[in-house]
Amino acid sequence: MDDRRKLLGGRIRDARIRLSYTQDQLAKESGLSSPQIISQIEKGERDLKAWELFTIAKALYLEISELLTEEYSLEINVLWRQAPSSGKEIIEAEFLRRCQQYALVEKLCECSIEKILPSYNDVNLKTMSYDDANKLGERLWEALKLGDRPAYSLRSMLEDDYGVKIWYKNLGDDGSAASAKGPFGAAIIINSEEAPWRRNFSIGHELFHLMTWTQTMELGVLDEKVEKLANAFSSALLLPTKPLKEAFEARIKDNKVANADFIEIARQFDVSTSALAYRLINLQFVNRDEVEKLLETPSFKSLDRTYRMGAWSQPPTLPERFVRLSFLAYQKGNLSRSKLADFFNVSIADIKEKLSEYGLDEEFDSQAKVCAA
Amino acid sequence: MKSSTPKPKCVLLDANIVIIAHELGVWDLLKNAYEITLPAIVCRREALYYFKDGEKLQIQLREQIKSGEIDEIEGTGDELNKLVNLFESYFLDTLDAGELEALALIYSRRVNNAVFCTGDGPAIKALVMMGASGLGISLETALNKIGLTKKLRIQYTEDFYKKCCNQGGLNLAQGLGIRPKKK
Repeated sequence: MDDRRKLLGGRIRDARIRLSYTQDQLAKESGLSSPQIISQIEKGERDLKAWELFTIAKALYLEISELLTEEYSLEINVLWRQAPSSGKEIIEAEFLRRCQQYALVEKLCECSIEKILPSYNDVNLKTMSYDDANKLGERLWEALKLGDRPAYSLRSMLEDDYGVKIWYKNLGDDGSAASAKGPFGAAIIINSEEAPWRRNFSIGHELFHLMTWTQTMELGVLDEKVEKLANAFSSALLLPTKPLKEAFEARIKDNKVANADFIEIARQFDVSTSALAYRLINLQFVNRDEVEKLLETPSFKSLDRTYRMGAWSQPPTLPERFVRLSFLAYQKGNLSRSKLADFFNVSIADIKEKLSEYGLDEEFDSQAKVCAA
Repeated sequence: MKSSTPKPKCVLLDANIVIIAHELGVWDLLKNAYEITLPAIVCRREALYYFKDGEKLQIQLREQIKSGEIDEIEGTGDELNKLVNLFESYFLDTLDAGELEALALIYSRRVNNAVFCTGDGPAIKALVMMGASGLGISLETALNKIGLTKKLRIQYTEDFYKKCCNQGGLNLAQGLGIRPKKK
């Protein structure tokens, strides 16, 4: 039997299993007439036509180069805070493919970011205390100079300064967030259906995993304690002691803070009211029992919901930097138009309209040059 | 129906060219002037519809293939594999499926005298990098050859085509995007 055919068949089988697809499902997803064809392909018993290879690669969330060359690897770990109950494997595959596309356009535009995230490889996750995680969060807040309201600048700083690839996707009712590290760098995926302030917290949480990646990989699992450490880290990063203390003290009257002020401070810092409450408890600015009771009060919950409803916004479908770089790569003649359409999840005929949604115009000649003074 | 007089050249088109030719209203003229051959992936997955004055219109390639007005050609896995082995993965990933199939067909020389009409930078560069610089043509030139002048987006002009050819030549000279030959 032809070794090359067998090798290709094996790769297709591995990629199918990664997605938990049956042969029947893969046949359907790739528009092939029967699962027997997939079986023959996987056993290396059938020659593939080029178009069949393309449709199979697409259904498996792979580039054709990954199926046909030696640079084939499915060995990238995705760490879930809470995985969706269904479709996890497909979401992971799509997420990783997206990250590769992002890295490709960075390379094509010569915009790869060399600056890497500080890593805390010296910490021991097994012995680390929540207080240690808080301190790490505060330390990073200072190092990144995130300002008095860190949530407003964290995402753009991670993307623009450190090249962290942040994607939003509907992860259902139970999915939360995940992170990954690979040849593309560091990446995060967040549930787009969560409230904006919860998404901010998730970014901080995933950032902890990215910065302690080596130790987490050594542990092999994300146990409850590590997740709580990530929460403590995110809490201190987004609610650093000094600006939080100032904001809190400004609202104290007769040694008390009005319930509505809790919500207002959370809004100012763009975190959830419960995240704020637990941070205040941990800093011993408030009494635990009293605040936990408040958080459970229906009228307070209702006030919180109503107060923040206006601030709800959907995150971008594609990261703004990814959109910009993809378009630039196309304009420079380094990325094909059809590939651009693929990156934007539309067909070729729809790309013009999609670009205009982002305020981009392919009629504009970006290759025209101006003289430097 | 195919005309009785032989047409000047067999032209492989990528999906963008098929779509833009429909948008510009020159598809029938191209078809009559050239022997048009489309890679299977372009026919089956890519050139499906276009927009004219805001209206979405279907591109009926299947009927035209059946009636013999145009041809469809299927690249084989082997042909694709040979092409893929020429280039580095990152460069391949800049090319779309229809373009890869067309380039694989050009590289295999299975279609006699075929030239590839494309407005995509990476595809034009790839032609040069695989030593087939004479086997490509810009849409502007393809139209000019049959006496048509149209205002085209920069990517379809001869000027853009030449710039990409030059870049492809530089890539070839510097070994950029090209897979080193196995010793």
